[in-house]
Order: sequence, then C-alpha cells, then structure tokens
Amino acid sequence: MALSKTTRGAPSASDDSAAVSLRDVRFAYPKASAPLLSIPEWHIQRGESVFLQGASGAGKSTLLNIIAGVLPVSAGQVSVLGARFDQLSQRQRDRFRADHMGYIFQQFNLIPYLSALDNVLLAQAFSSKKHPDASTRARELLDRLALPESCWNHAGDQLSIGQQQRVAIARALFHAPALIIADEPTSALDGDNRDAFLDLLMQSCAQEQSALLMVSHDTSLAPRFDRVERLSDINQSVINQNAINQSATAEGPSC
Amino acid sequence: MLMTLAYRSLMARKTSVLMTVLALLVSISVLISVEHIRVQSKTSFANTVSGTDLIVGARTGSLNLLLYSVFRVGSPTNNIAWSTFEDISQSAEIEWAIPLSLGDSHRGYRVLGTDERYFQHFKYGNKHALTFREGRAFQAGSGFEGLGSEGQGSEGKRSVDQSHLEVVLGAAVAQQLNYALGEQILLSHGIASASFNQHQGSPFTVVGILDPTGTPVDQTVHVSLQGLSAVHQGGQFSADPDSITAFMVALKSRMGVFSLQRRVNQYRAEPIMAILPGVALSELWQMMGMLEQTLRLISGLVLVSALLGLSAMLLSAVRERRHEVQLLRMAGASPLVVFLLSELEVVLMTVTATVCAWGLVSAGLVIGQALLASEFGVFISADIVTASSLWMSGVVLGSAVLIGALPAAAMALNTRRS
Repeated sequence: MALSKTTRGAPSASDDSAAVSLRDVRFAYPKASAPLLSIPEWHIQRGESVFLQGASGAGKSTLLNIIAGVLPVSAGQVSVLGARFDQLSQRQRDRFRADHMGYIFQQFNLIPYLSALDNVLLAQAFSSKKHPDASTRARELLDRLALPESCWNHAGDQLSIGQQQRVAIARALFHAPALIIADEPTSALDGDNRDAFLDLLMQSCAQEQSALLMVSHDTSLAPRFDRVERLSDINQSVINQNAINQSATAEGPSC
Repeated sequence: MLMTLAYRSLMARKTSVLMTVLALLVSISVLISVEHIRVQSKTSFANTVSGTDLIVGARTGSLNLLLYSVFRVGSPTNNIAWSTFEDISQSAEIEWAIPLSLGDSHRGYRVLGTDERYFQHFKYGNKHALTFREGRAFQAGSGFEGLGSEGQGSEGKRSVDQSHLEVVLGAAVAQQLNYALGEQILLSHGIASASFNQHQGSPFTVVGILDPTGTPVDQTVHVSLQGLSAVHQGGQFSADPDSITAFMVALKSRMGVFSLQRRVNQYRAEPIMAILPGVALSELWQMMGMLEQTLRLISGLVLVSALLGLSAMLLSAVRERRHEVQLLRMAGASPLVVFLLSELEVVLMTVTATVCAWGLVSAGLVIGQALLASEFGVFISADIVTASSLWMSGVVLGSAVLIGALPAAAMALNTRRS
C-alpha cells in the first residue's frame, strides 16, 4: 500500500490517507439553478479498483474532473491522496495531478502531432517530478504494453485506436501514480481489444499499486473490479433529470 | 517543452499556417518598405544639396525648378541667357555661382554642362565637397577667362580643341556602364535612354570619376559648358554658351537671401525666378505628406487584415484542438500554459513572417535601388536595419500577441468547462 516514491515540491501526497475522500461535496455549473452533484460522503481506498456507472448526463465526467482537480467544487471537502483540493489553487491542483495521477480518456488520448514516445513523455512535461531517465522509462512502458517498437516514432494519429489506448496507459503509468482515472476507456474498442485493454490496465495498476477509478457504460466489465458504485446512489442531488441533460450538453462535451 | 509543442503543432497544420504566414509576410513587407522608403527618401532629398542659398532658373513652378536643377527629374522648361547669369553672378553679395546646363544624355544618364566652379563649390549632405575617386576635373584652363587670354576668343568660333571634350562621371555611371579613365563616349540629344540623335563625331574622353555621394550626382555625366555647346554647334566652339538652364548661388551673408530673391524675381531683361532649396523642399514634403499618410494608413490596414486572418485561423482551430487541450490540461498544464502555448504559436508565425519580410524587402531594395536612383533621383539604402524598422517590427509583434490573446483565451477557457 505504501508508495515507493517520494515527491519533491509542494503539495505532496501523504501515504496514510485514502486515495479519494469526498465530504459534503456540492458542485454546480455556473448559471445552473441547482447543483449537479451533492455527495455527503464517498471514499476510494489506496490500491482499490472502483467501477462507477451512471446514466448519461448524470455527472460522471464532472465527478472525475473534480477528483482530477480540473474543476473546483462549490462547497465541501475534496481530499485526493491526502491533498485538500478544495484548499489548493488551480495551479497547485494542476501540478499535483501531473505528479500523482494518471488519466485515460474515452478516445483522443494522444496529441496527434506528437510521436507515441513523446505522448508518453508528455506525462512529465508539466510535472515537477523529473524522471532521471525518462526516455528509457517510456520505452520500458511501451514495451510492457506490447506496442510494437516500429510504432514508437509514429505520430499519434497514425496508430490504431487499440494502440492509442495502450499508449494512454503507458502515459498514465509513467510516474507510477497512486491514482489512475479512466473515463470510458473501452467504449471505442471492439470486444477482443476491450478485454486485452482491461487486462493490461488492471495488471498495470496492480503492479504499480495504483488505485483505479473507471467510469463505463459496459456493466459486463464490472465483476473484475473490487467495488461497483452507481452515481445515483452516492449523489443526493434532486435535480430534475431533464435539467441535468440540458446543462450537461451545454457545459461539457464529454458528459 | 512548450516551444517543441508549439512548433510541432504548427508543423502539423502546415497549409493553413503557411497561408497565414504568407499573409503576414506580405503585410509586414509593405509596412516596412513604405516606412523605410518614406524615411530614406526624405533623408536622401534633404542631403542632395547643401550650402546653396538660391537656385535661379526660368520662371516656372518652384518645385519644377528644384526637381530638374537638383534632382535631374523632369524637363527644364526654358533656358536663361548667359548674360543674365553673368549679370547676377557679378553682384557684390554673391560668394559663388555655378551655371548648370541640362538637356542631353548619355545612355539614359543625364548630362550636366557646368564649369570648374561646380567641383569647387558644390556641397551635398553635411557640407561635403565632391571628391574624385580617379582622375581630375575637366580642364580648368578651358574656362571662359582662360579662353579669352588665348587670344582666339575674339573670333568667337574655332574648331574643337580636344581638351574641351572631357567628361567627369558620377560614381554610379562609371560603375553601371563599366567605364574607366581614357574611355571615349558620345552624348545624345534629349534625355531618352535610346536616343537616335547622337552627337556623332564629337567623342568625349573620360578624365575623372567622382566618389559615390548617394545623391543624383552619382547618376550624372559632367561636361564643360564649352564642350556642350560645341557638340550642339557641329564641332564649332564658342567661348560663351548662349544660354544655360539654371544656376546655383551662395551668398557671402545669408541675410541677403530675400533681397536677392526679390531682385531676381523682378529682373527686367527676362522672366526668371529664384527659389530657396529648403523652402521648395518643404513644399515638396507638404505635397507628399498626404500621400505618405495615405500609404501608411493603407499599409496599417493591410497589417490589421492579416492579423485578423491570423486570429480567425486560430479561433477556428480552437474547436478542433479541444481534445488536445484537454490532454494537456490532464497532463498538468494550467490554463495559463495553454494560453501561452497559443500565444507562442502566434509569436513563432509572426517572427517567421517578419524575418522573411526583412529578407524580402532587403532583396527588393538591392534590386530596385538602381531604378529608384535613376528614375526618381532618390537614394534608398538597402540596409533596412534601422531604428524605425526595428520599432515597426516590435509593434507588429506586439499587435499580433494582442490580437492572438483572443483565440488563446478561448482555447484556455474552453478546457475549463470540459
């Protein structure tokens, strides 16, 4: 459970706290009449893998963005790896995310004009953690994720979706983060690729002892996780579902 | 890192980036060249003549007189009698007077008939006298006083003495036509570069080549007044020319300028006028001022439209770069970093366009310099690294960054909502 790496620069992650801990969190988009999220209490333990499901527009991506520190909460405590996001500035949260978290999107995980290798190295571009031999680390990861070496210098948009998702895992793992967030990472993949992807992701998280929070529609994947949560169970917001949908489509493209 | 990202991202959008850079390149080139030519032509005009208090010629517009007598542009309207020149130049308050006779040419270069006083007294720039790179002035002994003492002046005419058919070339003439001392050249009647009416049988010998001055002197072929009248009279030489085109005057005391000007303007024997070169020049500036402002305005507007094009290009890319920005944000780039990335792209494009524009304008000036000098008597330096063009480039970059702030902000803020 303990992290092997120490971090330089504030704020740092403390080892004895939960991976994610939310208390009385409320979140509303500007101009929205009622809060989209209202979560009295919710936790993810260190090393735990959590499968989160919920209807479209229910606020899954919003919750992920709050835990990632991209969106500030309107009220309440957000503690991620011991850092109080509700008390940190945007800049500090950005830096913390770069140092301690990995993130995998549904698709468009690669910067199209950078090579696969450079896309992995993007993990440390804005991080205060500088790997002593970043290039070797990136190559190791790509190798471990079975991306053919001939593809390493191909631009992101020349790889298949399956390959792109594997590069995304490599980037997410680069700093051996204590928490990896994945937002519908399998929805663009076909059956075989989806299983292979999940195998790699779960295996990598186990190897690096990272907690995993994954959002997906595909409930067939749920049994492989330590815990399955429905957003509607943890979110107490009584907001009208239509209003949620409107607000979600207006405010966030990936909701 | 940000630099690499900006560069790679621009290279990934080569076509639209190239078009935008070209639009900027054209507008910056226009801006720099208009400004450069404006400043340089003023300096060039102002440097052409110094130490001359009055220019006297046949009655015409003062600008016209200035242009043909000093800048060798346009055609002289009428000549003035030699006796008039002698009469006025012998006034007590006059320090020196230089006769000028125009109207012939040699392969497109204007021929100036004058005498040794031209090489003694004519000043340009910051009171620089003319100096010889090679050779000497055409023979001083062939002046009128000298001729009179030869005892043949009483006859009025004699066959051409070779020493009167000597020519001194301006630096550019010698260089362009590749002439050396001792070469023989023919003059043409009129000022067209391809004149059929050549003064055959009266070749002039090159005896001197002047140092470059950066004034119309460089473009001028200088001969003696006697030589000029000799070729016009079919080889017959007369001591005094019948008429000249104009003359320059310097006074012992500048206090007398206006009274002499009045006396010249009221001269009874023939209609002549005197102008102050400085006053005529400022009239020229006034006339050009409007044109100048219009040119500056147009080049400014061209720049604004190119910058708006740049902004539109970046704005339209904001949507398609949504995922890219989202990735950067997740990798820990703050909105400020995303903003700076977009601005850095603007700076890269603008600097590229500016550097290319400098190269283009320099090259254009190197090529166009000779043409501007021979057609308009304006000397433009091809060295555009001047305070004003540097300042101009700074302003361009500043406005680009300012206009680029809009798409950059759109890109940085777009991510906050995702």
